[in-house]
Amino acid sequence: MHVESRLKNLMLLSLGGDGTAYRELLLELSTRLRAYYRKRLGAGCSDAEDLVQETLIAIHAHRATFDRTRLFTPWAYALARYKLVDYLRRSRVRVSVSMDDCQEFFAMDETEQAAASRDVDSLLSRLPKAMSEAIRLTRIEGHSIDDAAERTGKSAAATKVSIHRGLLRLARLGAAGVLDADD
Amino acid sequence: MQTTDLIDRLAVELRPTAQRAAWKSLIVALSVGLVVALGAAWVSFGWRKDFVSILLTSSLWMKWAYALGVSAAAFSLCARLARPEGAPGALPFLLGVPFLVLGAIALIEVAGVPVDEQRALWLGRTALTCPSIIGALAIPIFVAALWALRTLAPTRQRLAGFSAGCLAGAAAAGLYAIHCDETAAAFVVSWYTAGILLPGLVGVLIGPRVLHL
Repeated sequence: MHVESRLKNLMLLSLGGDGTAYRELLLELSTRLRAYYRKRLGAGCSDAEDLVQETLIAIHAHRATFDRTRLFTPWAYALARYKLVDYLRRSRVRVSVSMDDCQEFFAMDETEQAAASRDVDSLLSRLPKAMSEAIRLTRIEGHSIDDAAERTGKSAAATKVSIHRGLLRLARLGAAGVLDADD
Repeated sequence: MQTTDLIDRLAVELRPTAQRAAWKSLIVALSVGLVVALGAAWVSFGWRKDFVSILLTSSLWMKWAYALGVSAAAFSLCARLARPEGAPGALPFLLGVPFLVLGAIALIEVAGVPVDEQRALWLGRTALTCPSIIGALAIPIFVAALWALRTLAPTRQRLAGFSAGCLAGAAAAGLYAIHCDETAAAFVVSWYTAGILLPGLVGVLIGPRVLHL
């Protein structure tokens, strides 16, 4: 598998102490984790980014448990899945998470992502600046609410309201098929 | 904190990882636990003067074979579950194999004695002391195994706790065997097993909390 061999190679370099390879590995994993958690928790769930960070930290802390003779993707997915199940248990939501999504988790295509980010850009450009900025900072770039509020110079409450309204409006825009008409 | 900042921080923190570092920590921890348990056994029971003659009894070797069988299965399970993606597979059933073999021997043994002596064969003279002592001797090994598992990454934590407990119990049973004068297979299969399952069940209960990643 293409992704497996590439990521495993990065992991082997990382275990040898190569910081550049490690950074590349974590960046790629963070993209996949973000997509995975958003899909499972719903795009509006603000905890997805926390889970991404928690999982990256778990991967970092437990990297010695990766056996160099085995596959990398099942190892990483097991930690990702554990963090999701743990989160769902903490938040007392009963959902079953399949053990078989490992394929899907690593099958995500880069071009798909590029197309998705174009779509997001064009949708965001239709919102008032305060809303699009708040959404971009928190949901796309991964800042916390407080962090985003500080950057935009607004209160955390106002930022939350902007995100909420913006997302509602985006949902309406999406439903109206604005994108299709434009492209 | 932003995710890219976190990644930068982790990348800066990166140090080379030794080959098989994880498994070494498991072995080292278990050895330390075993030595502490051995010391505790020595302090409480002293050194048997008739050790050499005990070595020639088949009952000691039966107990050792049982303890070793359970330890080996529990260790394989424990080592496998220490990896996040480690699936138990058939190993939990392998854990039951020594029990079934000794259980069959015990049944044959019990069937061979008069009915009014069967109870004595099964209960021996130390039916309750034996599991308590095995459970107590297991504590240092159990703590060491859990400590090692915490540095590893088990994601099936109840089963991992169970395997660590059974491993500690079986190793402790092997130590206690030297000081135990019971000779019946029926006794060993009942009360040694009870002593092994005791820490095993504690592991099931505390696993998720103690081993939480």
